[in-house]
Amino acid sequence: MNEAVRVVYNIHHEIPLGALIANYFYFTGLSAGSFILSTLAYVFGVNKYKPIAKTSVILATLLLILAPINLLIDLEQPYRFWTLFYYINPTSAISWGSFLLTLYPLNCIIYGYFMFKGNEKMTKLFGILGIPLAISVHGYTGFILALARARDLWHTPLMPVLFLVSAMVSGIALTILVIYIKDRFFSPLMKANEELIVDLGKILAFSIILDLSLVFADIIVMFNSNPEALQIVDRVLFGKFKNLFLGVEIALGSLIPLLILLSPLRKNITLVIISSLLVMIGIFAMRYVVVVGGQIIPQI
Amino acid sequence: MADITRRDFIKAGLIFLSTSALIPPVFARATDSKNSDTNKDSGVLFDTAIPTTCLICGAGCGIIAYKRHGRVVKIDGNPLHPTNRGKICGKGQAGLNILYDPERVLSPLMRKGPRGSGNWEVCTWNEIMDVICKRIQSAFKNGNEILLLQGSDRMGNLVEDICRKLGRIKFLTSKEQRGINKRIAYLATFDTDIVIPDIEQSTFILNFGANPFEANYMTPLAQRIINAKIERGARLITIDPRLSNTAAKSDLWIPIKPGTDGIVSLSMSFIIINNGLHDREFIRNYTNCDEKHLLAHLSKYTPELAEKVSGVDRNLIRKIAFQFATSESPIAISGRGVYQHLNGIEAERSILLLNIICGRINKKGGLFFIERSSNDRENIFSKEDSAGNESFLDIIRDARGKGKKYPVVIIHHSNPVYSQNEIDLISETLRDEKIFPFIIVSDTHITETAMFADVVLPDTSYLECWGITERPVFDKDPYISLSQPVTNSLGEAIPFEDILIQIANRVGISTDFKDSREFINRKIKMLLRNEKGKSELFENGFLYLANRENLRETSTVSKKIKIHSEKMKEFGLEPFPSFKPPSEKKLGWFYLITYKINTHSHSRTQNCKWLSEIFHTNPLLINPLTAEKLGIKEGDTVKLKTELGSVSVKVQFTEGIHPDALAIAMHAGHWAYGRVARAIPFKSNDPDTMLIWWTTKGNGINPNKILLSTHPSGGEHPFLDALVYLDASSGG
Amino acid sequence: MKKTKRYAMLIDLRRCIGCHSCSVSCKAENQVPLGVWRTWVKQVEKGIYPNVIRIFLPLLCNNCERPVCKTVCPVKATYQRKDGIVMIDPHRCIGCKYCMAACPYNVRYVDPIKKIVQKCTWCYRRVDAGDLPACAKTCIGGARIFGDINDPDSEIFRLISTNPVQVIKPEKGTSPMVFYIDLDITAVEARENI
Ligand SMILES: Nc1nc2c(c(=O)[nH]1)N[C@H]1C(S)=C(S)[C@@H](COP(=O)(O)OP(=O)(O)OC[C@H]3O[C@@H](n4cnc5c(=O)[nH]c(N)nc54)[C@H](O)[C@@H]3O)O[C@H]1N2
Ligand SMILES: Nc1nc2c(c(=O)[nH]1)N[C@H]1C(S)=C(S)[C@@H](COP(=O)(O)OP(=O)(O)OC[C@H]3O[C@@H](n4cnc5c(=O)[nH]c(N)nc54)[C@H](O)[C@@H]3O)O[C@H]1N2
Ligand code: SF4
Ligand code: SF4
Ligand code: SF4
Ligand code: SF4
Ligand code: SF4
Ligand SMILES: [Mo]
Repeated sequence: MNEAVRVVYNIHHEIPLGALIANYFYFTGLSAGSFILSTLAYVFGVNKYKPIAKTSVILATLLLILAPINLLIDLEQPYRFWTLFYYINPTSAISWGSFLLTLYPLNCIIYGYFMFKGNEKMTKLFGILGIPLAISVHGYTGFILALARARDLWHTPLMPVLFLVSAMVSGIALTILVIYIKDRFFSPLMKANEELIVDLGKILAFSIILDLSLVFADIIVMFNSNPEALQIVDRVLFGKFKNLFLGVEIALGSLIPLLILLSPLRKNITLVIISSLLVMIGIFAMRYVVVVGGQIIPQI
Repeated sequence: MADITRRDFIKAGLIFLSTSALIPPVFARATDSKNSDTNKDSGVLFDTAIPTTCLICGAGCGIIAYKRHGRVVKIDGNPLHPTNRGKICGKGQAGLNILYDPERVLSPLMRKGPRGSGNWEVCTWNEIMDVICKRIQSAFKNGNEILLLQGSDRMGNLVEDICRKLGRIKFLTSKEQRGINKRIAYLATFDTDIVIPDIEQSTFILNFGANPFEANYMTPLAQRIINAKIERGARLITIDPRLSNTAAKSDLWIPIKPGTDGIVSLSMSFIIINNGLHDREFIRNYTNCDEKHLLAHLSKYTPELAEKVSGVDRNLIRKIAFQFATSESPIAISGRGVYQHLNGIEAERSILLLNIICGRINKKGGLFFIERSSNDRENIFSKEDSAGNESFLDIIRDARGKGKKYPVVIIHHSNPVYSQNEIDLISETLRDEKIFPFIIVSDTHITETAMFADVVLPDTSYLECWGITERPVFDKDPYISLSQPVTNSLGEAIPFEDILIQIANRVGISTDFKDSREFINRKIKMLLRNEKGKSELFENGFLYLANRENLRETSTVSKKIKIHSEKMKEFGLEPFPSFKPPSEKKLGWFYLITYKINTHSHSRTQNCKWLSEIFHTNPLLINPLTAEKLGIKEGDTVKLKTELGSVSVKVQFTEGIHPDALAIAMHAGHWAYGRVARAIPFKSNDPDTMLIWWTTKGNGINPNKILLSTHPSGGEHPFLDALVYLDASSGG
Repeated sequence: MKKTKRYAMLIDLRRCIGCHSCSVSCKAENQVPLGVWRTWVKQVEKGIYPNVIRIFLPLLCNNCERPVCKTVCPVKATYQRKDGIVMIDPHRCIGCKYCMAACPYNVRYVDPIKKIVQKCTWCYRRVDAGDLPACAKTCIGGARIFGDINDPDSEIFRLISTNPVQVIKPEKGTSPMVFYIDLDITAVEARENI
């Protein structure tokens, strides 16, 4: 800031959307990612992913039931939440959410039901129905931010895409972790499906690259945007959020896993598991940096 | 006509409001918005509106109290009132916080435990009156005088009159801190202390050390200056060591070394006369001094010398002098920054001189002085103060020595333990029961002073009592402004004036009125000539007394203006306006300025939640250049020292201060008064008191502990002559 | 043809003396709790001694012509009256705070007692009754001028037509209805160090 300018009186503004909302986005992202992963086998017929489909769909359903609880707690008037269903505002992303957040877990349950029953046809049908829903569920959270015109960090068409890609990243990482734990500790063989995990590791690496390029693009454009955006990038790269962003999100959560997953080490199951864990942490950091960091600059 | 009862006034108010074209729409919304009552997210509803006068500062703005179901819900300015024309300041708006303060004293209290302990026993008025009267009677019986200190007068000298009747009361006002220097200067020059700046018509306003956009006569004066600026294109120049809000909104801010305004203005006068820009005729016809003498006297105040003393560039002094003298209707005004210095009287006279030599007296846009005619003596304007009276500190010093010890001390509407200089000395003395065995404090709160009281009398606030304000501040035609109770007194509160009348009656002195209401009624009758005026006064909250032709713009001044005043000799000063330099500062020492801010009044509004929320702490303002030299960083805690002691204070940098000066705002650092003032959240019937959020920032400091009161010539406390040593090493 | 009413406020910063009377008046009129404000006066110092000024910048909801707060409100608790006043239905607001995140002006707050989001609604009650908003009425400098900008006889129409006026952050596309004379962008952009 210019040395010759000093604010001598201003009021304090609470940051309206906080950790709970970041958490909400994190959960929906995980859910959507897991769901898409589960459809690889049943919708796209990539049979080698069949073993993970059931795990994924359970995860997707559970996470999506948990996710809105964050929202609910964050409401100042939690008992009025149900009005979201009959006071509709088509221009409000949150309003879209009321329906997505109902339809999507319903669809997940039906989809899972047929999957467990072994009805492949119906599973495929609901899988196909579920894909746009999953994309919407997470895409809409991206829109929640993108449509909040005030915040330069959010107000970009990249936001929904970025959210989807990061959802994939976190969903895959979560699935890797869960099937590892399931196979390693709860399956009769007590042995992880190494081949599958290594394979998922490849998709994970690919998603991380995509995610990083989007983040990179976003930052570059922000850097050449208006003064307010500049101030935010400044806080994210060099200020209050630099550790969370550069340290946790980029270094720990993306670069280190990427290095592992692209090197011969990718065959080492322990390292893949560690990478997935790091990725999960990194994506949470990303949600937090975006949600809270996006509001760090007082508007006035 | 019989006395008007309170009900009648309200009715009068109602009729006025619903028939006059001024406020009816506002009033109307009370009746037709019944249905939207549940939608309580915006806007107060009301059923009654009563005009009265705001007494939170000396401006005396006309206000209207809006009520609903008997409770005052909003205060707005009275649009008809000539003082403030419908506007009021933040303090006036926050009057509700004073009235309904959950920490107000609402019953008589008797001390339990040692003085200062803050333990009180609630008692009845009867009990407390017995105790008080016994004390006073025994004092009188022993032939002793008792002392009464009144901070502000709201009832047209009622208290003073009763004291006079009682005879054995030493009556004191806090004039040592209320501009007595200025008034002495006025009296010496004009034989009157009523001087009105016609500032709205001015085209060039030269402001020495006044801060009308924050303090002074804020609401009335600021709007007039702004109008002059925007509508008349007037230039506003402010001379102040600190960038006050007035300086900030001026066309030019001229920082000055504190205490040197006198020489700058004298130098300007010299330049003006030397260049023949003065009003020759005016000086010849209306002053007691001829040009040649004056010029000879002024010739020592060269711009070069003025620059050396004040730090103001000599060319700038010249330029401003030229601009002043050649502007269409210039005016020079002054504030506490000038007169609360040791050289305050002379400095004030020097600034008056600028106006006089340019013939700016009783002319459009100039200074109007109102002569005290014999008619005026009918108590219309406050009585002439005899200068050089004793101050409370004199009494304190006396009592500590061999001097007079008062068996009963009554302190009403004043908080000397917080607001005066040398407050440690005052505290020590008031704590000592041997010096003052019985102290009565009448206040709305348990103030720092009340902490030493033996009994505390719950007074009514300005919204619950009668009163009359007789100052025609901003109109050349005299008017009076009425205070009337806008609500029943809260709790056990009773106007102090009524209590005093009862005391007088009980000790055997009869008053020709039974209470303050009757007194005010008589006063009004005396001031007005007809009954019509009376109802108008109650309906409008104010009344013009007369259109007095002699106050209109005129070039005739009946009495000679005394540029050369023999009266000054009484104060050991030169008859001609002269300059006495302030004390020189040594290395490491600074001039400490204390000043007022826009959202507080003295010591009394800090328990107003809406005001303390905006201003609650007072860091030490310092120029970054100065700080750098001393190795001080922003946010450091430093110590300010004088021979009286030291205070620790946090540092805040500002480019808006003279490098030789330091500044601390007044109004902070309460250690009594209330929890809002002390930044402590607490449970009460007002949910807001739990929401006090500035706790960690603290409530600031009170610098008065280290302010000396060297005996000034006029009696004014030199709040602004403090030389302090800045100790940067002793932080923490 | 007579145009529809469109309320607006003009803040003539040449007249503003930073007295905070407006903010306090607003608190009283609208029962605004401690810690939150419908309007406040930001103050910024600019320059180097002795060439330094202090800028006063009164801020409040712009009651925008295209209010993004309204667009994003999921339950339409935020709505707009015909005369342009952007309202919040206190019985409908669920307190999701989305509007707060979306408004480019930081002028909404959660009422800590009522637990709903609130902001300046231009004292619609007073205005409907023909009176001025509480802040404009008490404004000492006469800086706040309120009225119908579609009414050629109004003072605000006259002043906006005859003076250069600015709005804050026009690029956000909300069409603010609070106009300023003499706006210094430094004061808008200045922020405390975070
Ligand atoms: N808001 C508010 N208004 C008030 C009051 C209040 O408490 N609060 N109190 C009322 C009362 S009782 C009074 S006495 C008046 C006081 O009204 P003012 O005299 O206008 O106000 P102050 O802030 O006391 O001082 C005025 C200015 O003098 C400056 N100053 C200090 N030293 C010098 C100097 O040597 N030379 C020059 N040129 N300037 C100097 C200070 O920086 C300050 O800006 O205000 C009245 N109005
Ligand atoms: N450092 C520093 N000290 C200063 C100044 C400064 O600028 N700097 N300014 C000086 C000046 S100019 C002045 S005028 C003084 C002001 O000095 P103060 O004595 O603080 O003046 P007031 O604000 O009038 O408040 C006196 C008391 O009156 C009480 N009070 C308020 N309303 C009522 C009421 O209706 N009835 C009763 N009984 N009591 C009431 C208040 O609670 C308060 O305790 O301060 C002086 N002290
Ligand atoms: S200036 Fe403010 S505090 Fe003083 S009388 Fe007027 S409204 Fe009251
Ligand atoms: S300023 Fe913000 S809250 Fe007000 S109308 Fe515009 S977008 Fe909505
Ligand atoms: S907080 Fe209330 S007004 Fe704001 S978007 Fe949510 S429901 Fe609408
Ligand atoms: S218009 Fe009313 S609600 Fe809005 S800032 Fe002014 S006083 Fe407050
Ligand atoms: S009341 Fe008027 S002059 Fe005072 S701060 Fe508010 S806008 Fe400025
Ligand atoms: Mo004063």
